[in-house]
Amino acid sequence: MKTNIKAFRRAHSSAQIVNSIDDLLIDIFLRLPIKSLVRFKLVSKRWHSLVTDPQFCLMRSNTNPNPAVGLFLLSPTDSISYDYVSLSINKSGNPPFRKLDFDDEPRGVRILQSCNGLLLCCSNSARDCNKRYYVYNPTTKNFSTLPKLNGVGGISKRMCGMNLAFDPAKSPHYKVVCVRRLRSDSGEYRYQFAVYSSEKGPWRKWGDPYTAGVVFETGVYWNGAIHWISNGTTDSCYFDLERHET
Amino acid sequence: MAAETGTPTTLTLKSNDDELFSVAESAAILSVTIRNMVEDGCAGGVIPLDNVDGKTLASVITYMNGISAIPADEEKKKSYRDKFLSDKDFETLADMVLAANYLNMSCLMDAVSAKIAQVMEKKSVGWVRRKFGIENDYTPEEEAAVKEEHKWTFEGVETDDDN
Repeated sequence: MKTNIKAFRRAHSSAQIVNSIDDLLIDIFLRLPIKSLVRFKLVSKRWHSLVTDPQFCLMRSNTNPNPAVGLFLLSPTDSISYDYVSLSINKSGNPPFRKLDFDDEPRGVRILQSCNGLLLCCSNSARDCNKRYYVYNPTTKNFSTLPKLNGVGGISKRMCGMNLAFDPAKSPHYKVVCVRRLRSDSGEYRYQFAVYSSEKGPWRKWGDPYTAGVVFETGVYWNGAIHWISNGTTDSCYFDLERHET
Repeated sequence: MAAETGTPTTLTLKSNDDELFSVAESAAILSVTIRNMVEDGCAGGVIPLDNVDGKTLASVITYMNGISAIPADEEKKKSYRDKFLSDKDFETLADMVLAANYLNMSCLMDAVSAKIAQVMEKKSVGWVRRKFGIENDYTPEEEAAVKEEHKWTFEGVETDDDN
């Protein structure tokens, strides 16, 4: 046994031996910035699979809580492209993207919300019913198209808000909460919630219509829940995704 | 506890190329592997370390002595570790990672892994392949596709110096 180890060590450099042990490589990978890590997918197929392994991604997000790296600002001139402002002092850097042009969208795609490394986007088409919604990972450039939400029971519903909930430290899966407005006989607005889970699939209606005086367009995911506040009053409400297991 | 026994205990460590080193037990037990041997009473004579060569072991012992001489002050320990690793080349860092892994020294392991990551951070894919002795197993088409997909990660890469 002893001579085998010696022979193996003679035939291989230490770096080659480090490379042959997954755990040692992963220890190094966990300390690399995301940009280097993504670049090193190109080293070999094995490195590619180590870097993209869901278990590793979860481990990495637990050791590197998502730092804000920059701001994407919608350009006022064309309303399609984004200006990028890097928040790190020493890196000016080129923007990761200027335009989101995946999936053949004639009028382009716009960002609705950013949530722990994922972007919720929708097509720029004017009509609600033609809009497509996407969840996009700007780091890996992967996106998925959310299934279409159908009007339930023939009632027309107006889309009020789409909100993304994603916390890689808790789960590699994300959820999207959709809020649509119903008009009741009394003339008062009521809202219907539906939840989509990337793990469990289709849209599911959640609970009964709900009355609230908040703006559902601008939700923020925080502490396991999506929060909305009112424009004028001090009202606010939240949707706790951990309690509302769909 | 060592203070009660009077003279500090010294251990003798043997590298895989048969070099012998004396080191204070209090410093050597930073290695969980060595501590276990001491606790099991197997450390009476010479402790053979089959996975570490003399050059690396000398360096690890320098570290053991240096870090154990610093009182419980994480800030000072960190700056000692940074200084200790600052002049090590890539191959030496790879030796150190293997030694730290074998000796089960988590503080050294963490520091060396972080140092290797720091060295690699801005390096090209070709540099990494050469240093780790990795063969490119992508076809030219596959390679171009992966590269195209992650274009932005190839900005700001240093020119290879191969040091």
